Amino acid sequence: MAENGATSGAHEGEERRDFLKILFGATAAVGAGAIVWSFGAALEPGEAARDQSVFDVDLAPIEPNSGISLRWRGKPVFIRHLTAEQVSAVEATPMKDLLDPVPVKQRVRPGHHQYAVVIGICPHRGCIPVGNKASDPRGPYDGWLCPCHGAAFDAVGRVRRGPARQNLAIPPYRFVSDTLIRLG
Amino acid sequence: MRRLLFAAAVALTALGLGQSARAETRTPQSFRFQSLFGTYNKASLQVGFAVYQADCASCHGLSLVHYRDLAHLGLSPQDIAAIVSHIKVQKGVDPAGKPVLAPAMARDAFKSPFPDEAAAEKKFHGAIPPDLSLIERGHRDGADFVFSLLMGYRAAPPNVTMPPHHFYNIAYPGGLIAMAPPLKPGSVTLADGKKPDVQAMAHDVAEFLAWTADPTLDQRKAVGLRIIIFLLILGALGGFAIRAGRRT
Amino acid sequence: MDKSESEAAPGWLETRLPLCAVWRTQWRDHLVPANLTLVWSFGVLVAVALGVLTLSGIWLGFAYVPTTQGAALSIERYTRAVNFGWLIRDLHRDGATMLFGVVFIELFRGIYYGSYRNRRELAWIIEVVRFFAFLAVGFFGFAMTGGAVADAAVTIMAAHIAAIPLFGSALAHWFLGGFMVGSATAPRLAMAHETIGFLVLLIALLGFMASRAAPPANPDGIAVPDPRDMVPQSAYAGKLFTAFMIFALIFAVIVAFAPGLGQPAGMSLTSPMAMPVQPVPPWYLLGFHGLARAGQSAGGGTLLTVAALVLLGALPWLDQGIVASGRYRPLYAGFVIVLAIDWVVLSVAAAQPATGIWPAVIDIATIYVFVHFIVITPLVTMLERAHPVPARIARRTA
Repeated sequence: MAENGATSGAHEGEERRDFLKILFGATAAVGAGAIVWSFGAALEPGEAARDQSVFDVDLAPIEPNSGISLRWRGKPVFIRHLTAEQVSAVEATPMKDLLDPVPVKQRVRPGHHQYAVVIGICPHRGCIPVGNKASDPRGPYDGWLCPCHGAAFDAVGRVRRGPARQNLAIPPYRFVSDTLIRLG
Repeated sequence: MRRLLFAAAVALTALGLGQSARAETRTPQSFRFQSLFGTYNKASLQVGFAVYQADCASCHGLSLVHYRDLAHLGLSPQDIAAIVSHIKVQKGVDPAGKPVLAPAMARDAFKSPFPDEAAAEKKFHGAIPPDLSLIERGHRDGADFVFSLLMGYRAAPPNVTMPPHHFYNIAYPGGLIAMAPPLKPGSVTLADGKKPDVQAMAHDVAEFLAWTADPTLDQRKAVGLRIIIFLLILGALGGFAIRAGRRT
Repeated sequence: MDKSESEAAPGWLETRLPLCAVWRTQWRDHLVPANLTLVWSFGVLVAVALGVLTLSGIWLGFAYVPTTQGAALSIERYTRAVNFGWLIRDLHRDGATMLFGVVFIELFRGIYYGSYRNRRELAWIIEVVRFFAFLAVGFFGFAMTGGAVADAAVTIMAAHIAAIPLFGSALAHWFLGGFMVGSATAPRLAMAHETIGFLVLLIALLGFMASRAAPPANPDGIAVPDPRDMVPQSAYAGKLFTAFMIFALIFAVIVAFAPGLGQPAGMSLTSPMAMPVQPVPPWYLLGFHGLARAGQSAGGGTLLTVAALVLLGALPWLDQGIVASGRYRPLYAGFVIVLAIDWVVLSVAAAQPATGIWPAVIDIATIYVFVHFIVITPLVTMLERAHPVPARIARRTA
């Protein structure tokens, strides 16, 4: 085919063919990518699950020296309204007495020191500490007590007694107004 | 084989045409979304939602729709927040076991008008008002049906004896419907202060209920059109590539 | 040039797992008759449709809740609140329409060109078994969607089964897992749909093997084509691509502009009032729905449906003539066309309420199906004077 003096023509034809092949292959790959992407996107949490990810909580009904538990993204979240005495008690705790030393200002939001918001999962073995209900024991440090192995936390969720080695985690949240927080 | 395919296609078309030629008792309305590339009219959907809230929601639920879905009608998050703040739904129970009412949230499903079917049966003399989420599902003319039903109330002909709590409606199969004429002129006020007449209300609420039954119609048509254009390009490229391959 | 490249010294993987060699010998260089037409690409289209259905089916399986209430609700919510949920649901629902469209044409291709002849009996029987399995998967898939229409369809199916003499009612209880559609029913419908769905892939593979083992079918019905009339399968790349593009375009148009085409409105959640609906199955089951309705009055709906499929599988023995292809059998070809029209009429009539002329139409169309197989096919074979079949392939299409 490349004979009879049309060598360059045939060569051009081949180049054209290869170009078209690559162009076709690339277009088909775009299509395949779109299919993979849409099937992947379908595995993301749907709207119903996304609904749970951001949560407004009204703090006004929480009396001082009491707390509430709620579920956020499947995890227990504790919110405690501290009295002025409780705030000054945790602020007075010397750093050297803490197992996981963190100042109080890193455990609460500025201007809202009376509200402690923590994730209620003991960092030791994942049990849910008690201390939110009026009838619950709060442990020796007036915070939460883990019923499984006896870890004790103070009123802003810092660990004071093992076996846990870390403080209770803090969920991402911000104050929308003085008595309303947005979790997530 | 070509003859065989052709014959089958002709038979199918002929029978299909015979089907659609059957007498149509309903009033056809023009809904933009019913045309091939047509989409929902957002202004119409918003009025339709207002009509639903004013004249339908007290008896009919929309269990499959959530307040956040109203964003599809072109409402802003602030609009939706304003709407839900007026709607009180049960949020758990207080320590005494009494239900606690709180404003709905955008993530909540539309409030059900009654706690359960038994309560509805008692309230509505045995006829349970159906959930409207899918009332127009599967009927190409589903919106026409709802429109005709809303506009189909007439005085009963003398030869028809009306059972108690029933009304005469020419669009309803059998003619006897337990729903009182629901649309009240003036129950909805538009942004420009005008009050739409009953026919306009029926049109918009019919479009709104088409949306509740098929909320992904706009997206489906847009994505589908893109897929078809893509396939046409792919087909042309493949055809050229195969032809060029044959020539060399 | 390509050949020398791909047949260069096999690499590490190729010497241990000769995938490229299988691709070459079983696909690219596999010799096929030179007269194949576009409809011969439909085997590949069946594979494409099965791929789409399997993938989208797995994705729907992530969301499906097999309970009486959850069945319809879970899929309805999936289409509304999950990214592309509507697309995946319609790829599955309309994918079934595409599959059956292809399968019906493929079956009529076999009947028209006598593809069951020339030592292809077993390949044909496996194709009929595969068709039956498709119908079963289609029915269970329709039934498991829940809602008023699907539940009614399951109830009617149970009534058909209960009408079987002797052990019918026991079988119906076994089928439903109770006296009526209840909490036990949805999971078993779903499991039947999925299990037979995967079994179909195996049956299709067996059919492919049996078809490859027998002399190749072709539109001229030439029993053993001359070796000079055979071309490598790769010569049909253009035709295959054309068929695929037409398939994909029709599929896209249905998904975008007519989702759920030919399927009952109640294939999802139905509200109690809705509009009075009649339990009508998806279009691809309508013909058999018609056979069952015709048999109902005679007390044997299920038997008629099964008998029709058995007769289809028995075609190699009902049609014993010398000439295979409808191209050279004008009389036979005419009757096959009438059969195709009859099936369409039966399907449409089966979707109508049992009033007016429709029951009579169903009965006549049903009788014709059986007359075609039992009377016309053997009789035409004996009586007709077929045109001479060329020894070589005259019309090369590749």
